[in-house]
Amino acid sequence: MALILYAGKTNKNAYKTQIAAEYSGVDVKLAENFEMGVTNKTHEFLKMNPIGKVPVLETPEGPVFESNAIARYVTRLKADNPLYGSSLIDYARIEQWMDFAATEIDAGISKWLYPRLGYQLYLPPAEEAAISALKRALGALNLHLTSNTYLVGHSVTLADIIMTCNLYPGFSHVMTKSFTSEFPHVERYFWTMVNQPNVKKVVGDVKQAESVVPVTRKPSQPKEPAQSKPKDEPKKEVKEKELAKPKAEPAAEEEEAPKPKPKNPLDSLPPSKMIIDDWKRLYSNTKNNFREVAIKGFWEMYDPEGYSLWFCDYKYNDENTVSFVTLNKVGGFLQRMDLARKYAFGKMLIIGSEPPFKVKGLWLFRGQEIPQFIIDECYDMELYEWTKVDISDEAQKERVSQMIEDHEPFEGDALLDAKCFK
Amino acid sequence: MALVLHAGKTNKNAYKALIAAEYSGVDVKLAENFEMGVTNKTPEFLKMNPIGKVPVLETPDGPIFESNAIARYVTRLIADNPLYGSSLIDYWMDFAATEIDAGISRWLYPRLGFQLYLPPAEEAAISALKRALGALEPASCLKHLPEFPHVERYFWTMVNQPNVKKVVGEVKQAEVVVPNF
Repeated sequence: MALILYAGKTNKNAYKTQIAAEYSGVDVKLAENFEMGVTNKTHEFLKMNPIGKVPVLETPEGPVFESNAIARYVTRLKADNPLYGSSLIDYARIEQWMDFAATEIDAGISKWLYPRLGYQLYLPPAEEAAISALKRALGALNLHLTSNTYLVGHSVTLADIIMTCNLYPGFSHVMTKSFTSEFPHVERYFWTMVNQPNVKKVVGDVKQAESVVPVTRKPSQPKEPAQSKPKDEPKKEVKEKELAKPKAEPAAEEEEAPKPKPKNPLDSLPPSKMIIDDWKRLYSNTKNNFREVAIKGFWEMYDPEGYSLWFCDYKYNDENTVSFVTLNKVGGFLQRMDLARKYAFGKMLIIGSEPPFKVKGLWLFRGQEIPQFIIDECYDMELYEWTKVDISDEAQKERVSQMIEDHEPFEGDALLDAKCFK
Repeated sequence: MALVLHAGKTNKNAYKALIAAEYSGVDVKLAENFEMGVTNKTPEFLKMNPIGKVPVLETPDGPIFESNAIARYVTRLIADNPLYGSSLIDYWMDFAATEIDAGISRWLYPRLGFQLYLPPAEEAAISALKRALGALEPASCLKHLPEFPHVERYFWTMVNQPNVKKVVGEVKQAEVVVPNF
């Protein structure tokens, strides 16, 4: 049965495994319909690799991530695989060059290429430093290859596969002929490798970049300025990104490409008469007579067409046996909700004077559903039972009011704490 | 005969091999009189590692560089070494290198003056590191104050293992972020 590899079709880190599989006669198939930036954000995928990067290999014993680790695994599936040398010292040297390929070559090329593709912050002095580190690494590699056809021994090993895959985005996007001519043995080595039938079968024809890939995006602040960004900017970025696409595609790397922020679908909802910030201000500024001022104000402002109210109920209340742990849990949840600040308001009550504590909350969300991006990004969401509030039911409406005002006792219990997301 | 490891005395990349050697009962000694920035620039050294970085291990079969490769070699010297008991080990080693070490290095080294210090690059490094540390935490909550409690617990457990302590000595957590060089 084939092992399934999750990655885009032209991912150099997936190539490592695919090439090793060709050499080793192991059956590895790319997952069908894999979509970078979508598939790898799903819960199923995150269960396989908590950091959400590709590639990931599904094996009968469970998932393996980190591209070199996957390639090692596939190589080891064949007993005494010559890709792994025939002695301890060969093995150590193969590992040595694999690590060199990662820490020196790949790191250098990535720091040069990815900012230009818009995946990372582009800073000219950082690029300069990256290029000079890369040159030092290529110089060392060139020296070694002066007297060696392959990295270790006299035939292709896993180290050559990893090195070639790591050099590949360099050769195809930034390392032009005038750059590489300083390293003639690296050139000779690279072209020998990409013309090996097992490599060619996976990677296809390789062409050296004729010019360094242009910077696709102006330097921007690393902190996502999502909230303060002028509205037209994301659109412009999308355009620039699309222009750069044909070139950018082959380099879909382990680093998942932070796509330019698409417009939040909630922004295209029909305008609501409720201004959530007005409500938040009222909530924060009401010091006295909360019921008469804030709660009354809330129900006057509330727009049931533009917004919806939700009760949430922690599914594992019996685990809440330690007060500060429970408080931290809720605090973490609110912190992770940061991305929803423009579209949500929430109250979370930690209920009870004795453990186990109950955690219940009330949320106001833009739109009629719990926004999908929150469900996708904030894993706490699935730890709660969510029930939409029916405001035609006076009892539910009163419960909303009580949650907003930290009414104590709440449903007969004292409150340990109440936290607000605003 | 002891294997000779070329590196400074407090190099965390040398610690990897030294700790693995303690666990495995392999005799590894630091090269005497090694001086960072001097010894590793000599032609003899560059013959061992063309990029002139440390650590390098001298073995009867010749030199090995790259710290993880050295640690692997030392570990494999012992047949069926329990340190190498599972194929999961490879990927956590790679995770430690590509996610954890890369993030910490990009935060720390510029501050130490080893690399160019650029505040926005530092910010990006810290946020990538947080993402990586977050991935080490179980997917349940408990991620706030302290943010990475399981990483903390794990780290302190590890540095208090006798074999680790013997090599690394006492570890103290930074009270402030090291100031910019």
